[in-house]
Amino acid sequence: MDGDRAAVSDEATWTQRRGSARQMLLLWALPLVFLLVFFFTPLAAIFRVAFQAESTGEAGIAAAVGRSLGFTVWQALLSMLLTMLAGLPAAYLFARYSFPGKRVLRVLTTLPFIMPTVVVAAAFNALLGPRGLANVFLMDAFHLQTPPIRLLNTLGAILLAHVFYNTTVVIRMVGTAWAQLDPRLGQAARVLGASPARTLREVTLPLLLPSILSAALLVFLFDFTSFGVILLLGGPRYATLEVDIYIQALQMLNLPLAGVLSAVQLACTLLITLAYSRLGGREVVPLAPRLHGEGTTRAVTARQKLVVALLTAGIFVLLVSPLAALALRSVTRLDAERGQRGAVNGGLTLDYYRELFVNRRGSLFYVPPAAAARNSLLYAGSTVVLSLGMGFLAAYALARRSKINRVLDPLLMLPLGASAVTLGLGYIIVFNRPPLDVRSFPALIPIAHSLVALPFVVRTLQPALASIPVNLINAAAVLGASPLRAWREVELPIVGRAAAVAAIFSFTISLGEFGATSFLARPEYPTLPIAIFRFLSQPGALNYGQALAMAALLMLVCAAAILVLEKAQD
Amino acid sequence: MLAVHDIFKSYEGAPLLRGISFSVEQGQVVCLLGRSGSGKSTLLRIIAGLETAESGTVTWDGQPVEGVPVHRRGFGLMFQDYSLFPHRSVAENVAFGLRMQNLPRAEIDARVRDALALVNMAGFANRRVTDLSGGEQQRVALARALAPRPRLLMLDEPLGALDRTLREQLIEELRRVLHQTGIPAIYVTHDQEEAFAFGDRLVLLRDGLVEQAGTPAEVYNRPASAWVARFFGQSNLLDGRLVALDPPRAETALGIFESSLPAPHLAPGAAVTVLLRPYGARAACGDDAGGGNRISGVVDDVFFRGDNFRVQLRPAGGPELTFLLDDALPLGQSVTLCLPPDAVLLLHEANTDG
Repeated sequence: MDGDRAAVSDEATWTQRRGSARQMLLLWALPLVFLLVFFFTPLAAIFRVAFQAESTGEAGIAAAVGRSLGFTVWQALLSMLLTMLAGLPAAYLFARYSFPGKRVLRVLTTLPFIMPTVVVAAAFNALLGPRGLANVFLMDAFHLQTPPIRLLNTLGAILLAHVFYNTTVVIRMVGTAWAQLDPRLGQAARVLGASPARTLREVTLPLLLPSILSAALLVFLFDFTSFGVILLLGGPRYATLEVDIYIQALQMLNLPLAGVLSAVQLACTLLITLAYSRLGGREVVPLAPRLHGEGTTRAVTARQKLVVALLTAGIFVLLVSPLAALALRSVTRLDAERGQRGAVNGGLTLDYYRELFVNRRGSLFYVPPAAAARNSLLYAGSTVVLSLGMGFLAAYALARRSKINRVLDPLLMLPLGASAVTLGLGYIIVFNRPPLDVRSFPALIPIAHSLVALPFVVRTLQPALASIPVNLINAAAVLGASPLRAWREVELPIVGRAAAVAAIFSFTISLGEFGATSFLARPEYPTLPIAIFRFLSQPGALNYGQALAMAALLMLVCAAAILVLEKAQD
Repeated sequence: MLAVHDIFKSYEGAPLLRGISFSVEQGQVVCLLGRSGSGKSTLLRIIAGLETAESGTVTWDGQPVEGVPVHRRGFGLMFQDYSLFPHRSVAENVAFGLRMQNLPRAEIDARVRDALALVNMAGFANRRVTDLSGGEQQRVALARALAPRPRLLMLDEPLGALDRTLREQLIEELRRVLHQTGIPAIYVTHDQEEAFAFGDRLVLLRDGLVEQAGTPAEVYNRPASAWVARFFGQSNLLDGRLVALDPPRAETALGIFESSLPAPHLAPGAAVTVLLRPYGARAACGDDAGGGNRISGVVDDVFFRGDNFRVQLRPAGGPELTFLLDDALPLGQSVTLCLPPDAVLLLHEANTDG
């Protein structure tokens, strides 16, 4: 017996190094200090402000919070239901049919999810806004004076954007489970006398329920914490907790109320995240079919072909058309806003892109978009360095066997649950006091971005590091390689791919980040999303065009990133 | 009752079924026998309505079932991997088909009890199917397929996933249940032992065609082709040429062999395969045997099997042959064996009969 146990633990040491206390301390020190200073301190500060506000019993706080929370939950619920309605048929399409262009369509459905919120807002503006393609076309075709589609600044716009954003989540989570569901279970039900509808109700849906619930909860979480979309598309009438935090902190300068809102927000996201991880841990029945692709069929009958065609068309209209409209509208010259009806001297132009580099107003405070792009790239580069540095240390620590990892691992994932707006507010409360001024400390932006990116980076690096057998390093050492040399020649090439994926992740996260940045960016050093936000909120065709041009560029970069990621994960 | 006529089906561009016809009569178990990949399961799925044939018809009592959706055909199908619903208990699985018929609660309960009792699983009603062993799952799947009293039961390699001892035990049980219920059945297998145990009739599939159909004894004793003989493990096969038809005689490298059984579809001069049955050979040849049906060789191996001795004979210039004899032969010595004409079959390589 003892011999057996020794053999087992021996085997374990072959695959995973045991971390000594000193090693663990060295590896964990920096990431922990980083989390402590830049995550827990701001959160604690928010709670302190919130409790002070509570204890002073400022009038109206409870009512204001209630109003915000109510609307947040309401719109998140509606968005979630609509997303499920759109996502489940699409998941069915991907799980059960093989058709030409399926791979491309799958990548296209991924695009919305990784798009920065400002890009999504700009895309819907380009499609359905007063100066959007749909309205311009309708006004031209029917000689209308005013835009017939008035979706912006309504609840509808918010819901539509949320569905656009999160349908991918449903397609990926439920679609994967559906594809792995043994098709013979449904066939068994059919043979036993169940109609197709009854088979869906009694066999397919109950078996998919865990994945459906998980997807629904995750979508709800995303909709609950959504910020940029609501700020940009919902207009002043619709304020969720996130938007309210922003308005109270930066416009009303009511920090106590913002603090209370943030505390409520934190508690809610923590609860939802907890429910989500509980659900994920539930026992899942073995569903995998034995042959790859066994469950998918080619559409043969006319009915099946119609189903595939309709669903594909639906996915295109919902998920692809806004992005396509953004690209198209950013190179379309329209002068319709001058008021002359029908003066749509259409035509393609690169003017908006050219204007990005021109300081037309000669104003000192005017920041040319090119400068914003330069800022964004600078911040994104710093974010990659910072998040990968911290991420590598933490991932190395997690790849070693040590009891302390069990406590520190979930700690590392906590930033996932905190919203960026809350983080931004926390930084203002903590760092914005003499002699510090948050706005004179531009490093806070990449630091905030790194915190948002860190969980993704660690979760990407850790499995790659853990997969390297210790013997490989030992072999290099026996062959005469110094530890550093062994790391460079053996480990780095193996984790290089994972590191590249992590770098792309944190780069795109930083490039598109809007929530925290909106708190921290100095007016004269905006990032691309901030610049797009400003240009979108200003009147004039040129501003509008430039906002779309910037958004289109940002979309291009993010699309390129996701393509590289898809390739890397093949 | 069930008639399958001229079914064609291709899979990923390659023909899988190339014109299959057979029928199932009242109370009959028909075994579809063939190697894996011969399209047996696909044929079942076409009958069940889960797949559509490119051409051909399936009829029940003369009425075509094409156009009848799967759930209205009233055919039971037991899947190879059982496909029990993992989210339902044993009793709920068995009750599924009954609920689809909207039977009253009390009747469903009674029939679930009966079905579980029939397969000796009475005590398992409230267990989760994911906790059952392979053999137990098999029984539940059978109970689930039988409970709605289908007018035809189809079993797709029902014992294929089980180990040998369990299989032998379940063969007995399954035989009993099938005969007790009297439901006409199609039993798909690649195992000849199972086919013999269950089939009132065998339908042997080869390359998408019916190679031979008949009772197990007919198919085994009178194989329609050398392929069939080989499928059933007959190894005493010699290449030869037909030299006479009445009675049929063939010339081989080991001499002339004469059969007392007709050799249809063969013309003199045609290439034939000579099958020598292992039974009936005698070590002492009479004078009457003429020049034919004698085989000489060195005794390579002898062992006692209980009923008889198994003798391996290595003839000069031929493959090693196996005979089952009443008496042992001396090892290493040269002997001559005589075969009665009914132990000799002259076979075409493939059955041209269709």
